[in-house]
Parts: sequence; C-alpha cells; structure tokens
Amino acid sequence: MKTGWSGGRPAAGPVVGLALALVTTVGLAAETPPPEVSDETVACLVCHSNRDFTWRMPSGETRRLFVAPDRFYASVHGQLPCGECHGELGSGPHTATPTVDLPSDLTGLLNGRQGARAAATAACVRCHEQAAREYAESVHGQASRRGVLDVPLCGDCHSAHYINPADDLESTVNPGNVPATCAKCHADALVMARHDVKTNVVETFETSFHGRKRLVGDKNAAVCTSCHGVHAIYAPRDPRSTVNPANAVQTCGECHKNASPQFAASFKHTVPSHAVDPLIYNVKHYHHLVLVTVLTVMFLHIFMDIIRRQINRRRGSQ
Amino acid sequence: MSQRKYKRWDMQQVRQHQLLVSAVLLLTITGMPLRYADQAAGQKLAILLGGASVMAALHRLGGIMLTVALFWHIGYVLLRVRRGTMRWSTLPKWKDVTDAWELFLYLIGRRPTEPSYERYSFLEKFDYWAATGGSCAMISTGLILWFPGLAARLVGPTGINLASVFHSLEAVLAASFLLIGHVYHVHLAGGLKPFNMVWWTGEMTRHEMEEKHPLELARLDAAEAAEVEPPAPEPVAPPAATLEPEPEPALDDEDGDEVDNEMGDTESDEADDEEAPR
Repeated sequence: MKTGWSGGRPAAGPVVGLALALVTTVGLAAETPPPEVSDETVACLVCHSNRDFTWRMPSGETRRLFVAPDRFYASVHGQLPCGECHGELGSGPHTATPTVDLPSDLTGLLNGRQGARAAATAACVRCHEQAAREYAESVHGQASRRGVLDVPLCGDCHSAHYINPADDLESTVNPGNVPATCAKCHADALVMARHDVKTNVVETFETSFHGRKRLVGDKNAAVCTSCHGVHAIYAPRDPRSTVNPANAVQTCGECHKNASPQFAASFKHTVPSHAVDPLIYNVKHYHHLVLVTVLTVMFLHIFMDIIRRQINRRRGSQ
Repeated sequence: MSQRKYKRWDMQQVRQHQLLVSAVLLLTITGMPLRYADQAAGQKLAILLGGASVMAALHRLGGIMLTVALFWHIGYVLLRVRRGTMRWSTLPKWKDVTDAWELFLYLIGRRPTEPSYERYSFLEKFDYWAATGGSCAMISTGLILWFPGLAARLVGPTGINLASVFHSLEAVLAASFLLIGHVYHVHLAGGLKPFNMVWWTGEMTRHEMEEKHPLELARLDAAEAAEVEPPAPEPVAPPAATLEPEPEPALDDEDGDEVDNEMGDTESDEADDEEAPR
C-alpha cells in the first residue's frame, strides 16, 4: 500500500474514510462551534475532528490528521479559518502543494524544507515577523538556514493547533511546561549527538535548586527560557547569549537582585566528576560513603540490640 | 511505690533539647520534599505543607530555631564554665573506646553484660557531638543557600555548589541518625518505662539509672553515703554495687579517680556528679 487512508484499499479508502469521518464526527465537530469560529474551519473539521484520521504520506510515514475542535477553538487562533495558515487546499484528499511565502530577507530560513510544515511556518512569519527575525538570528534559526532539519520551527515549541499564551497553564510554553517542551529534543540522545550538544541539560536542571523548586510547585522557579531566552537563544559562547559570562550577571539579576559574576558562575549544567569540580565530586563521594557506613552500623546495632535483649529475656525467664 | 527520681538535666537543658527536637523535625519535614522533589511522595508532602513558598518559609523558621538552640546551648555552656559548675561530662575519654569494644563483644555474645556507663554513654556523647557539629554544618550551608547572592561573593561558585551538595546529603544522614538511631538507643531501648523522659522532665528513675548509668549511680550513692555519715547501712547502696560489673574499676583507673574525687564532694545535687573539674 502506498499512500491513502488508514485501512481499506487505496481506491475505496477515501470514500470509506470520508463516510466514516462524517458518520463518527459530524456530531463532535458540530457540537459547540462558538459563533466566532469560521465556517471554513467547521467544514474542515468535518473530517479532521475524527480521532482515527491518519494518512500514509508519500514518504511512507503515517501521519495523524486529527485536530481536537474544542482545543483549537480555545486556542489564540481559534477564530482563524484553516486556510489562513494552510493556504488554499481545496477539498480532500488535498493534492495541492502549499506555497511557502517568506519575506525576502528570511527566504533562507526554511532551507531544504517543503510541504505543509514549511507552509505553516511561513504563515506564522506573516503575522509574527518580529519573533521570526529574532528566531532567524538564534542558534536554532541559524542551523535551520544551514539546512539542519532537527531544529525546532515555531510549531515544535508552540504546537500547531493548540497555541495558547505563555501564561495559560495548558500552553506548551508555559513555564510549567517549558522543560518538557525543550526536553523533546534536548533530552534526545540521538538528536543531540548529531549536533554535539550535551543531553544532560534537562537532567542537571531537574536536580538543580531551580528544578527542585519547580517540581515542588514553585511557579516562580527559573526554567530553561528564564535564563536562555525565548526566540533569541544563542550558544553560550556567543556574546549575544543571555548565559554568556558577559551577560549572565544581568540575566541572573532578573530574579536575584544581588547577583555577581561568582554567583552567575555557580549555575551550570555540569555533573561533578574527577575532571569537573573534583572537590564537589569528592565531597559527594566520601560523604555518601560516610552516610552508608554510619547508617549501616546504626541499623546493625539496633538489630543486634533487639536480638540480644530477646536472648537475655529468654535466658532470664528460664 | 514511687521510685526515687534522679535529676539529670536542669530545665534549661530540657528546653534546649525540646527546641532542638522541634527544629530538627520541622526542618526534616519541610526539607525532604525538596530533596526528593523528583518523587511523588516529595511532591505530595510539599502540597500537604501548603506549597513551595510556605514550605520554604517554614524551613527557614526551622533554621532559625536550630540556630537559636545552638547559640543558647553555647551560651549556657559558657555561663556554666564561668560559674565553675561545668562538668565536661560529654568530653570523649579512653573509656568510651573500651566501652564501644565491650558493647560490641556483648552484642555478639562474647560478654555477659553491657558495659557500665558513667553520666553519658559513648553513644550519647557521639550523638551530642554529632548533633552539635551537624547543626553547625547545616546552619552554615543553609545560610549559604538562603543568601546565595551574598554568599557567592564570600565563598565563590564552588562554595555554593558544595553547600548545596553537602546540605542535601548531611540532611539525610542527620535526620536518619537522630530520628532512628538516637531515638532507639537513648529513648526506647533498655529498661526505660515507657521511654526515657529526661527530654521532658529532666529526671530519671532509680531503675533507669541502674540500667543506663550504673557507674554514675554508684558514684552518687557513694557521695551520698559519705555525706550522710550517721546511717551507715545505706539501704540503696548494696544493690547498686552488686549491679556493677567486676572488670570496670580495674579496667578504668580514670573512673576510679573520679569516684575518689566525688567522695569528698559535698555540694548540691547538680554539682554532686561533677566529673573531676580541672
């Protein structure tokens, strides 16, 4: 089977699929479309609100084409017609190739990319040019210009259809969700190895004071973006980076009023070892040894004491 | 019949211990969720405690309580030194080493009885110094983490990270040791009914003294006998003397010295068991 609807033969697939989509989801899509939702969107969702709607792409990849109507309606773009981002696609199955329109100075940004994702990103740029320009200069944007396909585009961080303001708890860019959003790539050893980036950044954050505070529910605890920025993220060695030693004091100073260079230098994504921070490594290592020894002797003593008292009692009662 | 009570701690010492206990419990409860933030139990306890900011405030309150307890104790010790009533009975001695060895032999069944302890057993001395040293370590590293901006200028990045690592590890050691080891050996184990109440009343019964501090009791009895000369057949002295194991006075000449010293001591109850002040 080449391309086509999930299940069924290629020829009959679209018909069966459409019918199925109509039967199973008309009710769902038509349930509560708020009055502001465009008619076009409602029409698209006749098919695309079907949870089981998948499509086998020419590449062989099977892609889910489901969009949850309620979540899309509730998103910041809920009132936009689908075509605003997706272009004129006509009725399904859509064969038209979406056009990728970018401002002239940003044309290289989507180097090597095509299809719906590139078109959707171009659509973001159309309204969010300021953010796009910041992104284009960033470490991610520059890599994208070089044709690196692993770097995130708008939708990878913000999601495609369920974009919410950062102060919305459900938003992928809400501070509460930022570590998970960044971890999608930065904790992926395969992806990071391709670009020679450390994978322990997420782990070292989670075990740091900031990470722990966040896990016990501190809404003000710093997350990835608090220090590294949002769209204008640069490699730490880049003088424009918020975590470059030249700017770190100012970055820390956003929360810690009396930050100093020494203070800024104390936060880093490193795990102590023989080579890195040997003093901390040794203190950790030997204190752990002391802890295990003391507690072992302690429990052994309690255990033996209990047994000895039992023996004494038994002997005494004889 | 109600047993005779022996005063071991004055009310200041009792209150110091109570403050220390409250501080350690509060610090443990409010600190562990952060230590185990990656685990569900830690996160749930944090919610129970009223969230991250309430927890942090309570932890700092606990830190202040611990600091007060420490400085209160230091002040108390200094005052007693000045008044000349300091007994120095928590200072380690060679007898503590032999006691530890004898306890080990007793536990493995190579010795019929536990070692006889003076005013403080080697375990109690260890607990005392561990708690004092641990408090100093936890307070200083805690202050670094409380005021990282200022601390960074003083101790540098390594100092801050060291404090963070140490505070976290030492917390587990201290809390486990105090809440399990100390509570078992000092408060629960042995002939204490229902458990050691010195932390509440400052007093021990005669039976508890016989079990836990036979040498001290013998010394007190001897001093009493010397003081109250006329009724020569002291009714309580013989059983205490028989309780005392044989090898003790022979093994430890230091102890013998002390008993000799105390014989002539004719002061109040507190000064009574003063250990050979030099």
